[in-house]
Amino acid sequence: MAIEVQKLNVYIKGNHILKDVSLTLPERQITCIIGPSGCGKSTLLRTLNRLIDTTEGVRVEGKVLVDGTDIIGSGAEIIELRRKIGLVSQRPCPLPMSIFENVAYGCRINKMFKHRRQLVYHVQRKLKEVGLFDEIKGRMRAPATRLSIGQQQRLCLARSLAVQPEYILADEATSALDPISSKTVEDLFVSFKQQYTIVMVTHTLHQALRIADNVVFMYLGEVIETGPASDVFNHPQHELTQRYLSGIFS
Amino acid sequence: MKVSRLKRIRETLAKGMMWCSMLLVFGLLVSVIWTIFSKGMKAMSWDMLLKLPGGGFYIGKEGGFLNAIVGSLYIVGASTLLGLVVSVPVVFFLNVYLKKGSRLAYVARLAFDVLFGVPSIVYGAFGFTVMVYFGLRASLLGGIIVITLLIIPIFIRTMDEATRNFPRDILDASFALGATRWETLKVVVRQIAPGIATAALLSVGRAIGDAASVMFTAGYTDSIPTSLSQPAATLPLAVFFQLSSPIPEVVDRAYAAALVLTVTVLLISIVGRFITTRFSKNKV
Repeated sequence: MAIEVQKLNVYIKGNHILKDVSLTLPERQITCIIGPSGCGKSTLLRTLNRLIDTTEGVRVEGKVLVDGTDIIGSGAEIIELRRKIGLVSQRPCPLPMSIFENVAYGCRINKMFKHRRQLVYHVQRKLKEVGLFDEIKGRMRAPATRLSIGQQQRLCLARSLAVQPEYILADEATSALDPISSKTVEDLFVSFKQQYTIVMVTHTLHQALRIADNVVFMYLGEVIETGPASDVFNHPQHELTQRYLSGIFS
Repeated sequence: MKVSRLKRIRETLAKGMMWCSMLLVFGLLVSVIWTIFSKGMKAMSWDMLLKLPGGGFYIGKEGGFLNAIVGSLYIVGASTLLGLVVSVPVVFFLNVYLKKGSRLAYVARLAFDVLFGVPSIVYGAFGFTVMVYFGLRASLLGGIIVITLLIIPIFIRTMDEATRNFPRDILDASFALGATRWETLKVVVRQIAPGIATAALLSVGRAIGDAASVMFTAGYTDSIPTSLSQPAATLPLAVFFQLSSPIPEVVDRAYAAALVLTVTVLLISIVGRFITTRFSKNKV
């Protein structure tokens, strides 16, 4: 269930965005990708579920092995891949539907249930998993946009979980939230690592320190250092990592 | 002290100018509506709305202009439907299928902008040329086709505007759940439904009020067309022809037709607003 990236190069309109990236994202752990803005963290994340395909002028070279299957190249089953890899974006992005429909949407398109009763039960369970059910009980038909930003982000998380992914990609998933919501979402990720392989792009080092099992430090499109969080944070090998961690640049 | 006085004067002047402009626009609107109502109500009666004209539309004083009302509804209804059928796929293609920053999308948008600016008489002339080429006569079908051509750029531009502001994150969110582009379109429709409604409203407004494009293509007749190949009367042309009549009663009928036209557009706008608000319920 691990993801293995081998010699990944991504070019967007001729610009070399990811340079020879090779790393392993271990299963059922939280891997945090850290690094300054524009270092290619989000591009790497978007390559893992092939959302990068929607960018104009993109060229991808190298291998990304998900469950041993290379997902780069035209033969890959992108639709199934994306179902398998959940995504939680930076800003909560509810679909223009009711709270219930937001979670049910993925199940419907993947034809997961035959009976509506099963779907309702599944949606409720996912909402419970993210701790949202009690807060919104009785408002399931209300537009998702009526929820607070923190609740919306948890709804998006429930929506991703509803299609039963094996991996969760989170792109600075807490950066737009208030401190309390941020903590709630962060705790959820920690509790989920028993079931999912989680890859998280984060801008705050403190967050990575709190929750990461593994850390990938990127700079200008290259992976500078990667390894268990305790090693990278306590004994950084590379000078750039040392300088980044000590706050000399960000 | 001096500076603050200067600032105050400037502020008062700017505010005064804004008020003047507001009053001018508002006054214009009121005077247009007043003219149409006061003159139109003189000739207005149930007969006007429910009867066909008697004795020719140019000089006849009898009957009403049911022919023009029905003709306009036929043309506007059909062309709005056709316009939607053609425009919606174009907008989806531009915004969902083509990637962000696509050159083709840029060229297409430029082309639609140019088409948007083409005067309606040019559409009329173009339609007329095509009809002559195919040996067609002025007919309901000709009117529908030309009005459809006229409103397609309005449809596309308005919907495109609504869709371009569409948060790309929604597309990503849908794709990330394993949705195909086709499935994602349904999400897009939910989000841009108010945009589609606005586009339809603008198009209907333009289609129902345009005289130049239907003059050569739909023609004019005193009867209600029973097939696509028969000529059809329209409200703007009912106004145009009757207004140029030397007989005062016929001129009054022109104002009555203008009144019907204005009230129809007003009603469509109000109903449209209502529908748009309902559609916007789930909008992100």
